[in-house]
Amino acid sequence: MKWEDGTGGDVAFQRQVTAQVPLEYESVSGDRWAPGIETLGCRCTGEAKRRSATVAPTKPSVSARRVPDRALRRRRLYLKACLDDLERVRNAVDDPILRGNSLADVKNHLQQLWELVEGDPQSEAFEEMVNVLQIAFCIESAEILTPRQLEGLWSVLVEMHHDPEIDDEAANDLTRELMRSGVDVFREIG
Amino acid sequence: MSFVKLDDGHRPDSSEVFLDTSIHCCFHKGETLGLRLRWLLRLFFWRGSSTYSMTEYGNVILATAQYYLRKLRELKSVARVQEHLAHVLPPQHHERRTWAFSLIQTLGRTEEERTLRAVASLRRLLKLGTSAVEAHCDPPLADGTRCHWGKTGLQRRRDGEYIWKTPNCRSTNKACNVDGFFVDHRETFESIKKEIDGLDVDLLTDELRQFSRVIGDALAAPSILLDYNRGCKLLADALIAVDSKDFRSFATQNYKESQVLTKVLGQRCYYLPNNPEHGVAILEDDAANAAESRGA
Repeated sequence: MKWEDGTGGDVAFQRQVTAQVPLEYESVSGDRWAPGIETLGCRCTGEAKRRSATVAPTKPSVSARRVPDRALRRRRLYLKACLDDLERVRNAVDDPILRGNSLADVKNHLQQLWELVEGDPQSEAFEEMVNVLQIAFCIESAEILTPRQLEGLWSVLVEMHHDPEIDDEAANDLTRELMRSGVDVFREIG
Repeated sequence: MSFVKLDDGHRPDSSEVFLDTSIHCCFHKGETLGLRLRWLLRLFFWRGSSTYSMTEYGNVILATAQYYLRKLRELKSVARVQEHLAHVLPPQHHERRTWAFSLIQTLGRTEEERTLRAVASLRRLLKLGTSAVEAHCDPPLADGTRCHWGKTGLQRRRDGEYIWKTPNCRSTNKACNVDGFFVDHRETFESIKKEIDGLDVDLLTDELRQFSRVIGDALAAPSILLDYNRGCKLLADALIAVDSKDFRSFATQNYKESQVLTKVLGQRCYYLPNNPEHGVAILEDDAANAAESRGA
């Protein structure tokens, strides 16, 4: 580097460019321009802080979710198929063959759903609910199910289709809903 | 007093029925009992129970589920667990041999799948906890004792595992109203004690003797009931029975105690025996029947 003796007044001003450090987070407070510096408080001027306060709380980012979107889409697909089959079971009161076939379809789709989540530690609650539904449909003919039970099973499938990433609390609500509609939820144990 | 098997034409005296803890446990005792239970429940429009039953349900069903889950994780197979229960457990632990996992055998194609399904079912049962009692009934449950353990006994460990804690309530740390409940219904408890003390020796059970003794102690100092092991645990069925006093029909599997308690409370006692040959029975007063037939 060449040494220049001068006040600097005649040297063309060179704008200093801040080093662009890749960040792993999205900051709106201004701290992103000084990574690694620890201060007691926020280094922002106020404007950014004000803007940060207006950031609406949103759902956890896609990367923070435990079950990938692709898996959730597949779950929805099978659940939608179950709903279509169950609708045929409910509507085909005068057609025992269609009813029987539709019931077999529900069982098949639930089995595929089970195979999708079987033994997955991240999908415990969902796996448990699929097992519960399979037990509920473990019957010889659709006539065994009362309209109230069918209604309860339909409603649970709709809720699972709406949000296939269920947690323990949601699974408890769904189990209670089935029990209230007269479905013998834990008959597989006895 | 004797039990008479019910037929299809039976019409109950009331539209509501109170479910004893034993009935809540029946929901997990297989298909043959389940069918009769559903038949019995269809006779009524309203099902009630007590919050105290939640604690008993936890002590029986959730504790058993926990045991089975632990064994399944140890032995890694449903078949091996059943073998263990049948051949290894000593006879005094026969109450552990409660569940057969019959439908799981039908659904699971491999032993691994059957085991996974059994674990999933038991986990669901544990996670649902004592709210199963509420789900089997029409709300609200009778809450005379304001038993808190039914709602707090199921706990979640740091590793995410759900466990049922056996109650350890102490009279030094009052958390419920069992003593107040006893004081409010002192006369009813006195009548129960009087009825038990007047029974023939062949009708007396250990539990009935225990009721009489604990009621006697509690009449002198109701706060002894706050101590779980020395108090309310020993009087559990009587507490639940008194909590059911607003119901005219009472369903149970413990006929020996319930025939005395329902007599004092003026209730019809429906008995659900384990043996399917006996169907569903109702307790009839022989003397009243004889008088009625004489009058006819």
